[in-house]
Amino acid sequence: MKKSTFFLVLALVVPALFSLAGILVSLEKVDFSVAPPLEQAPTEEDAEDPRPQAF
Amino acid sequence: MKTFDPGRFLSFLRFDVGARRQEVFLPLVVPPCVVVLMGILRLSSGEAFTTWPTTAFLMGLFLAVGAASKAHAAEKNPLTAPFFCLLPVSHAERFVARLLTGLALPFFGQCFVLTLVANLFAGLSGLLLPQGFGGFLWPEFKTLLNVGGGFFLLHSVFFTGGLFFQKSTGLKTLLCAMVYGFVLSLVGVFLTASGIAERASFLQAMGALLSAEETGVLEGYQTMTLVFRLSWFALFPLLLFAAAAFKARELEVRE
Repeated sequence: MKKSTFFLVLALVVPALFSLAGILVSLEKVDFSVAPPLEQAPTEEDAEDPRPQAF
Repeated sequence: MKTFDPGRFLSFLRFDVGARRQEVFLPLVVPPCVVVLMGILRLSSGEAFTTWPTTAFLMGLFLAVGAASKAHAAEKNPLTAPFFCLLPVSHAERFVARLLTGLALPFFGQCFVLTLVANLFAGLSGLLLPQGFGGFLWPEFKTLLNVGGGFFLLHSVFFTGGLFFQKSTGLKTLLCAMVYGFVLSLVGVFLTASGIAERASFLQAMGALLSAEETGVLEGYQTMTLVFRLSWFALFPLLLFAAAAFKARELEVRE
């Protein structure tokens, strides 16, 4: 294998594995019960939104 | 022949900048022109010039990323390749010169030029408008760090793509980067679906990664962020530059 191809494959694989491992390892320490909601929960005003529903 | 001779390097740098002056100087000329235009419009409408032009800076960096995919075009053109390959300059000198003109010059050159132009208009605002001089305009260090990291990453991708592809280098690199991102997302979704990351979904972890900096409530978040940022904003570009350096050398040997 050429050196350039080797380093290209290394560049594509190693950071992906590192970030994946970092995420998986840290998941054990992360307390998602105190995490901010990723999406805003619908409020009462949203539920009573008078806009017509899409068909 | 020495690997790196400063005199020879400077001589090649001068030659290379002259040969590719349009690509090298476009990011240094267009954004300041946009800022001048915006400044004139603002002053004529009675508004003071009070912010450093980050949008123009980003525009210039995108121009530089576009030019990065064409940095080695001269070595691939059959008409100019023999001339460029016979220049008395080492691989290392050629590579460092291309990085300087494509990476460091657009970033630091733009910082300097845009600060000059922005402060010129801030001063004019002080002279012409009743609000007075609002103070010197500087780019924020955190903005520079974030934007610089993104530019380093994108530049490395397009610079390497420019070496690995023969024609339509920018478009092919963009397509490959999109496919790579899509595959990574698929891996994340697969992990979530297969239960390997069943403690919390992969996407939720990514959401926490991106949003927890402002809240600071997540234990273990720092490890995740540090690994993620070091992987993508330092390790990935450096490995790509290594691949590009070897590919440039292989190209010249083949020619």
